[in-house]
Amino acid sequence: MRIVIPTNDNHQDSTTSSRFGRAPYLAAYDSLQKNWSFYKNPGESNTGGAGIKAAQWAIDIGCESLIVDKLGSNAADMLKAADVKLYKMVDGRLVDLVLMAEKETLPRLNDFHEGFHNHGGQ
Amino acid sequence: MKGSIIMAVSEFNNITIAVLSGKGGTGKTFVSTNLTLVSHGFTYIDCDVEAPNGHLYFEPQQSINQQGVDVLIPQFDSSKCIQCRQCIDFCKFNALAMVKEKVFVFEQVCHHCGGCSIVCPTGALEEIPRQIGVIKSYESKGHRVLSGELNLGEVSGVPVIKRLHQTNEKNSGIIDCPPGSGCSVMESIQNVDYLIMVAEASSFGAHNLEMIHELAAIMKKPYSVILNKTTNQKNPSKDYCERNGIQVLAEIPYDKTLARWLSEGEIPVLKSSNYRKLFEGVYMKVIVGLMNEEITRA
Repeated sequence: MRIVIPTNDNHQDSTTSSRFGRAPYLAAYDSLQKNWSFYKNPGESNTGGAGIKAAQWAIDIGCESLIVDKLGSNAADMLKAADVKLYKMVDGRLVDLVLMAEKETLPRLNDFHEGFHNHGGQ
Repeated sequence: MKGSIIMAVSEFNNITIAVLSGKGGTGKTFVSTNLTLVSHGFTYIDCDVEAPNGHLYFEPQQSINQQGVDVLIPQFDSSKCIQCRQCIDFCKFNALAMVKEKVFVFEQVCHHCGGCSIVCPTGALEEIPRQIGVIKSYESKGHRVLSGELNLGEVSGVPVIKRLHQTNEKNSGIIDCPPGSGCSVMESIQNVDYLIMVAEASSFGAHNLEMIHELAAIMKKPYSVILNKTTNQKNPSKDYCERNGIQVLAEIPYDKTLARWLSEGEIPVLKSSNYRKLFEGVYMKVIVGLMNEEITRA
């Protein structure tokens, strides 16, 4: 299973980011290989549609679970259509979060915001 | 002096003056409605399409001509799509995405450039019109009034503002801008000749004045300031004008009578000779400023 988590840095000890489209990095964990990959978020520098861009990236790399604090409705619509499981982020290290996602003990994300309409960078 | 200025105004056709402010409630509509009434047949153009309120002062006397404002949105036809993703790569606004061989179109993110349907090699994206607002035009108090209204729930008023400018064509006009210094303000002032910035007598007012002052410099427009709701106390906006050598067209003191008239939909230049003189003075200074601009440019 491939799990994606937005992070502030590009290593395993990084803190998680509360944003999705404008998080600096996106961490992808492969639960079969048990390895981590860190990518610069393709959405971060976009003036608009950052969440859509990040969601497209996640879907394209085969993300099956996403752990986020909050998500815009556009990105949520895409991820739901791609059958990605959406989990609500809780406090904890990256390793703890993926463990909880694997055991499905994280709460599901059900509320989605309306988007920041080009003001998400502030 | 006045005669020669009127001559000059009639020779200058197509003058547009925008009234703007960094925040709401400073008196843009107050200034633009009064200025329209002392002008020589200028059109009043309400570009505050998210909350147009100029019609409260310029109530329609006869019939209103109403035109819809459409934008073109791509419509996806899955039977023609070959999943090449050229449309998605092309869209700089990320209004398109592909999930399970299907293109998602995010209408509120789309900027209606039409690029996706051009780059699509199979014609799977066809542009279809979607109405996002209306333009109302009518006569009131001897002036033409154009008012744009954005439909509820729409994200961007820019296409409505663009259409307002096209509808006005080559007529002189006073433009009542949306508040702030964002995209819709930029669209409102893009092609105007002169900017009047309205500023309140507060620190917050001065901060917002600074923001639109920066915008005026970027847009390379001649400008001046009206200080509104002034009192005998310290005025940070006035200090800002002094520090930066900005011309102040008028200081309008805080006045309860004025507030009452405005709340009743009355236009002060029609109620009081003092306000008429004040706005005639502002109008003259702007026209003189524009003539000087012309001379400098020539």
